[in-house]
Amino acid sequence: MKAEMHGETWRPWSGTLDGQRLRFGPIVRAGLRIALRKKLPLVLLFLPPVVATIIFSFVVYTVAALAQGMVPAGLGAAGGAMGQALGGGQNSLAGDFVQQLVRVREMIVGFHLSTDLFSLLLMAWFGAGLLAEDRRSGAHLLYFARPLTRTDYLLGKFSIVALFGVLGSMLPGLVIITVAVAASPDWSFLQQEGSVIWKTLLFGGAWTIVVSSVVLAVSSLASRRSYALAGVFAFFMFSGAISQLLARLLKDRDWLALSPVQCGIRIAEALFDLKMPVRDWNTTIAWTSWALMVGVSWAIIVWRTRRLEVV
Amino acid sequence: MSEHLVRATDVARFYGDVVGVCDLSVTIPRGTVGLLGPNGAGKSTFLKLLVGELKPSRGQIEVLGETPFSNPRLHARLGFCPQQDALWEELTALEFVEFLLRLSGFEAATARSKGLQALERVQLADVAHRRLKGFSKGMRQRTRIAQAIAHQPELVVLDEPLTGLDPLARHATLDLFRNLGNEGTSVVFSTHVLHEVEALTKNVVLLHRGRLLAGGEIAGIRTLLDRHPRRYTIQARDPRLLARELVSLDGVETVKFSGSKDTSVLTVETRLPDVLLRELPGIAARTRAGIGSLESRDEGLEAVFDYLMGGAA
Repeated sequence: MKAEMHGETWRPWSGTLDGQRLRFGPIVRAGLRIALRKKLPLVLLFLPPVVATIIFSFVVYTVAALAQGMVPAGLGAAGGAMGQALGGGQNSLAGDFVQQLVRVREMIVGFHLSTDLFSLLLMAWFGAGLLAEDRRSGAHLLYFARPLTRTDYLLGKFSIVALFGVLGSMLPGLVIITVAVAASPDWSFLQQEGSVIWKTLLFGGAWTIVVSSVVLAVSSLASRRSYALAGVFAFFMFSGAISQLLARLLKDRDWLALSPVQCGIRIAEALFDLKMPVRDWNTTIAWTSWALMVGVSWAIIVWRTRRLEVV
Repeated sequence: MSEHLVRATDVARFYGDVVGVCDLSVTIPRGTVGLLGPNGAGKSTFLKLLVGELKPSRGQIEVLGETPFSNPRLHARLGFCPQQDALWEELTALEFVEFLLRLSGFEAATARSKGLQALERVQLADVAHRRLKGFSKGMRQRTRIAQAIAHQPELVVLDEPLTGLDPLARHATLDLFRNLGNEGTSVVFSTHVLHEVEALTKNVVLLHRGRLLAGGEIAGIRTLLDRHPRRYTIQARDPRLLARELVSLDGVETVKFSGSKDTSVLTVETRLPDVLLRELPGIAARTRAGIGSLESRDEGLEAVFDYLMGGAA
């Protein structure tokens, strides 16, 4: 082409960038900021675990106090009856002290499993739109026109979901454990059942990673947040139903490993050493199933994120 | 330091069986450049290739001397305003621009001040703290432009930047692009509204069905189109006298009359416009035809575009 272009005075870019810091930090901050702007879902989704945490904290405190032969002030005369119900009277409580601590641990595990379902709701609600809405609105065009790698992008999105998972799964458990430790005499809970702390962190962390990965994978496959939300619930419900059905039809309880929730229950039973495991199937299979779910989810996420370029 | 803004060599991008762009070889120097073409011509694909959103299926592309795909170093030097309405509704305009600046690597305080400056430039400073979900289409478009220019990049790439703007905002935005150009920022923008390009730059790249039709200055491209005769309209008191002389000129193909009794208009088509323009004053003096005006309707981008599109169809 002989035609010439006109040229203005060219000004080289003179900005300075901090290349060391974590690039996904702003994504997490913005994601949380957006999530916190909608108050109603926050209240509805956080209220049950908060209330449950408060009630369980009180119950754990009461059990620990009764184990020491004390009656919590708030219980008054009812404390005596509760003491009877829990262990057969204040005199016998001293002898059953270790057993009471075990009961506290079992209560914590039970509480843990119930709050994990709330954390599933939290992660699904706040995570379902993270990739789907970016795809729908074309927001990834803004992300990837910045000095941001796809790894940064995915880490940012994952951190948002995982943070809600931690808030719904790990934090309530840690609060209860703190109450149990504080209420037990001479830190006896810490000495006798201290492993519950790292087990809570391990179980809560693993659950958060599994659910966050599944939520993001479904979100990456969906074209809208509502579809992703439906997809997440469908996955957890159908996998649960199908695993139960296959386990019964084929008379092999290992089929329960198809359900992430069933895996979670089995892993919790084994990890927290519950006395009466009702689901005597292979724990290794449960862990393997979780690992596979995470692996497959991330394969989908990476594949779909690479495909984000095609709009 | 690269002399060229963009250098594309045999670039092709396919979406499965669909061709985005094909065998595109073009060199664009620094400055302001309009990317033209009808819907589906491959403009957006080409722009996404420029900013590294897409990887070429074939061929090579260099922007500011670097390969754009997955190149964070280059991304720090360019700003992109996509066509999609990609805004986070719950954020305010300032938070939105600030967030993207933070992603670019700016510290919080710098991001805030640069964000405010950018919103001022697009005349949104007074609504900087309002949430985006309450913004009109034009305001949203200006917010997208603000994030593209906020970090003062070397190159700003804008996909249909004037879509949805009212005439006043359109005028102000064109001024903004002009100022960016004067400040030394290169601007590449796509549009299918031809007069927007003419208002801003003489340099264009024309795409059609994913292929390059032409590139360069509009007048230069027009000159290359010697297949199409240049059309002039001449207003004269006595056009018949004038026509008699003009038909004998080299290159003149047709002469047509139109107009009313008082003002007659002569339309002359010639393949040698230089000859016509050189001889016309002498002819006018000789014939005393009383020439009132001389106008070429073919110099504009629209005519060039029509010719090229007609040829490409």
